[in-house]
Amino acid sequence: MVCSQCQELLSEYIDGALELGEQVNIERHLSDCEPCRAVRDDLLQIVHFSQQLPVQAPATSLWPRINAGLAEFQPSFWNRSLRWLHNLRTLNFNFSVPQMIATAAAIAIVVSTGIILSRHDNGTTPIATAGITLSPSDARPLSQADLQVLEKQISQLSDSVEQRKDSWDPELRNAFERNLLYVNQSLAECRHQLSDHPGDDVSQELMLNAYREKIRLLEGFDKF
Amino acid sequence: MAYIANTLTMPVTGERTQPASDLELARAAAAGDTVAFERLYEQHHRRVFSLCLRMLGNGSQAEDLTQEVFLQVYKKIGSFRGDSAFTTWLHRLTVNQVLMHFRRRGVKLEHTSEEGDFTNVVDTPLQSTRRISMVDKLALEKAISELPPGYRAVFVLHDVEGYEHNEISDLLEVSIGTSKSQLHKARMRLRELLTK
Amino acid sequence: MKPFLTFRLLFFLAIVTISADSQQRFERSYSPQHPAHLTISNVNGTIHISAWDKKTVLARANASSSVAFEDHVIGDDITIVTKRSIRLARADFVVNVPPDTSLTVKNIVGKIDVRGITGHVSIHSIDSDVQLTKVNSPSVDVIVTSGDIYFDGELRDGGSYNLQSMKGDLDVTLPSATSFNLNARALSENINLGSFLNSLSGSSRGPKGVSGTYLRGGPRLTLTAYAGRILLHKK
Repeated sequence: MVCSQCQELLSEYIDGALELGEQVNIERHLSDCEPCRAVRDDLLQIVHFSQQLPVQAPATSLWPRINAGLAEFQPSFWNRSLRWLHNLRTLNFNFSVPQMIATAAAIAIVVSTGIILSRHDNGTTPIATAGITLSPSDARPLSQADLQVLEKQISQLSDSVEQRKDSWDPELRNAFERNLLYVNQSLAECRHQLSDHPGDDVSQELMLNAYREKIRLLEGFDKF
Repeated sequence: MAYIANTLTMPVTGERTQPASDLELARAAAAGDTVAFERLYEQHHRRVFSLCLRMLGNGSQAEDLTQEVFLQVYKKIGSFRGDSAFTTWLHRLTVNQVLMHFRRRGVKLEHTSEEGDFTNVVDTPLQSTRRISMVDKLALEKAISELPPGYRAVFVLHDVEGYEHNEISDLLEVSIGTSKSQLHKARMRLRELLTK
Repeated sequence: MKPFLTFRLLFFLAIVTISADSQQRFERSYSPQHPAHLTISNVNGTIHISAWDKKTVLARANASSSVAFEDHVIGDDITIVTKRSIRLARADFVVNVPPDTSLTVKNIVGKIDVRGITGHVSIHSIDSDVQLTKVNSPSVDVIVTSGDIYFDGELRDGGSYNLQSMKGDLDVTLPSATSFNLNARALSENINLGSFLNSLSGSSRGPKGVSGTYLRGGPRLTLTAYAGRILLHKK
């Protein structure tokens, strides 16, 4: 074995990853070769001290930045509902003790309210249950006329693209369908956001923008 | 009720025994308890920051990425089921964020030797071999930061963080052979830097 | 028997040759008198544009043989187009330009990479990761349907910088002393302003957006992400 062969294998040797035969060859070479022994010893030191490197700490101002980010991060109503439905389906709930007590109390109140009201039921009045009523927003939503114009334009472009799509090669078709999916998902999310908060300017602006993007996408592929 | 009195959570099947504090904190944080989340941050932020710092070689970017890691933790903590240690889950999330950071900047992690493949074979008796001693840990940190990104990534993941080559191969989407080769080149390059 | 075997071998080689998608090379050099405006309109492939210290524009592309190139020059306006066909044939561009060149880039699929430009930059694509590095332009307008957008450059006073992706992250690195007016909107994911957050004044924050003035304000930085994060870093 020559030095170049030995040194090429030194990392695996010190990691204990060599077959027995190779290991023996390396050791035989090392026993007679001072330079290779020096390299081995240096690599051992590097590995040893790397495993002992101290943990570093960031600036103390980092947590306030993160905290500010948490305060702004609000899962959307849709995501919360989906998460709750997922948990219900998989029977996966994480409740703390106070939450379980509060939940049990709420259930007790609802049930007892239902029982009390049912005793007064004359057979025609539906049972009233505790519930929350969303107050109607007084903000003006996007005009139906605007949406209709956009939808019509999109519909015409979509029809045109659909007629051509079958003649495209699969890669082109996949690129189109993948990106159309992304745009449609964004539009759906915008609509959910607006159904939660009809007066939200940012969501309205994002939705209009998403419509424009859908038109741009369809126009781009309509030329094929 | 006796079971609930003894634990803070409802039973989840298939769960291994965990250090109680991390799993409980994670569950509380998932339920919206920001105090629990802050405690998780206090316990783990140094390790996350150290990994980011060593992989990126830049303190300011490492802080930004640490912030991003914890925002992602907050968002995804509901998906932590306790079937691995929290530190493992957090660590992997951190590594993925670092790799995404590299990818966005077009940093290629394979074949990143600026000077071509390492071929400088030591075949003569050395007049002096400067040994790396305890006091040169700072020099080692500095030398690590001077490695090309690809070597640095493999070295930090393997020698500093303890990942195996098959795990590095999955994370960096390289072959196991490439991971081993990059590690060896990183070590030899560090040796060069430390014996200048 | 032998002639028959030879014939079969030749026939097989002919089939292989005909079915192989052979390559072509496109190369053009242009000599604008004033800062040029270069438009590249591609369909499928990567586009790398970087500044160099010469006054000429050199455009090269490796493409499959079915790609048809068309270029025309009117004054200092240079346009290079790859014609659309129902096949997503590939053309990969590598272009060198003087730094003050203004760019208009259109693509459908393929990564776009721009370096060292000081002219206006407009990039519209469908499915592209976009990287802008060492850019110091009076205006930048990048809109993609899917892909990450990475910007590492400088903002000029009075400039306008608009980055938008429907599916992908927006990752912006700026010098720490840069002033700007920010309008960042992220529909589904978080906005992480990093250490810029500390000095953002007059800011309004909602679950979907952050806007405000950093330091003295001035350049308008508009970041819009639908299914992706917005990340700001100091250099």
